[in-house]
Amino acid sequence: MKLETIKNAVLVWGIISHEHIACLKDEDALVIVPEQRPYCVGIHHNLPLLSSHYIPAVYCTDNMIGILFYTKKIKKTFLFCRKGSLRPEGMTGASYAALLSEIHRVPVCILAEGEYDLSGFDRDASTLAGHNFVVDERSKKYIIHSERETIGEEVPGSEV
Amino acid sequence: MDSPLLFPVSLTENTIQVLDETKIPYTCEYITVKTLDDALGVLGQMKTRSLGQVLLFFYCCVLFENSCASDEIAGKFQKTRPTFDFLFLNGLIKRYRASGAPLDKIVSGFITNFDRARKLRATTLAGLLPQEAHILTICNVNGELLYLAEALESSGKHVSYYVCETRPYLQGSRITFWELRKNNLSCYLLCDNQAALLMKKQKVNCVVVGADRATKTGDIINKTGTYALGCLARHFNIPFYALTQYPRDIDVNSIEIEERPPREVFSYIEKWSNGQDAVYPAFDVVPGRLITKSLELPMKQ
Repeated sequence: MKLETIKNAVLVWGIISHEHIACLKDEDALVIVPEQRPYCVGIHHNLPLLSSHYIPAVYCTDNMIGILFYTKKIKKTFLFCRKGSLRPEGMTGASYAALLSEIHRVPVCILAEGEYDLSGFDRDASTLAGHNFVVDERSKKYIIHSERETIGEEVPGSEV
Repeated sequence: MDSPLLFPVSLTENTIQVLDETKIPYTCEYITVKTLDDALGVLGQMKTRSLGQVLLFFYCCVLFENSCASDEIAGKFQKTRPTFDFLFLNGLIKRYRASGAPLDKIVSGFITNFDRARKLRATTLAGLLPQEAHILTICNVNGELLYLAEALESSGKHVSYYVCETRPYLQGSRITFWELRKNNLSCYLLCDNQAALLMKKQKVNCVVVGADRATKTGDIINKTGTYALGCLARHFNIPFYALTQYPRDIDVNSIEIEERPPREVFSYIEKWSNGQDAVYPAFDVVPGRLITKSLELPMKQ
């Protein structure tokens, strides 16, 4: 898909929940589905779920959402966060998505995330789909790991 | 300090040798280019980029001087990678040729000058960075981070690099992180989306990026993901430095942003892609207002 064909889109970040999929459908918009490294939740969960509900979606890598904001393609962001936490707690990259939305004055809607077992997922930034990109084993200790990010400061007044 | 990325393309008698950057870190293999079609093939397949594509263009002009005008070569390169300004490089060649110098001498002079200039620029940038420089970067700037580390060390400063993996081709993971670790420099690898968290936690105190294009009003175009770093750096009040060359007097928004085939977004994860559609803008624009300082390459005329 070419950028110029995207006219009306919403961004999702986190694990889309079955209970809130209707919110996305109601938007009547193209859903931008970032990869969400290192787990690749975008391709493992979000895309198939949207597809099963016949919601139009397009994939991108995480670093591409900047240009989508810059070119004003995104009208709303849906952040799927952990239910019941004091401040919204999203998956890796939640601050990235939330801040870029706030900076571009794109409204952020926080919803409860879906249940998805990530325990068996690769959470190493130096590997992807079985490929290992850091061949020097001694360098493995220099990989940044993060799982959860609190995002209250990025989206003032937000709650799940 | 050394890296094959410092000069990833070379000319030997009747062939051009191109470092296959898509094979790093597994092997350092060179592709032999004998024809212009070979050159366009390696360019289009991202086997080389950044400085490599500049060298490839210059060497093609030398190697095919008698069979193909540089105008034609530049046109074909421009069509293959539309964001980079090969037509401008062609203009440089034509300007120097007007002086009557042989093309091979012009090109070798340019390369010597280029290397001297990037060392100088690294020294200038080192002077601007803090005593403990924790530098966030994206993609790969062909060894200039090594020169920067040397310059920082010479001035008694300490450096740690934080390298964004740079999906989908992973130039950050595969090339920059490898290049820095190979030279025993302190560096960390992160997913592209972790940049905001690192800034929030004050793990980084400056951002240094390359630029494929630059304008005289201070805007740049660089690898996709650079704009997000610029926005976040501004939000957290972190200085953002761009390494630029030959800024042009044009509107940045008039420059075509190359969009690559959607299947490439699924690089390395093809087995999961299931025929899904994707967008792949290969570059993005960073407005000058987000850039603390652009460091232009100090080339001798």
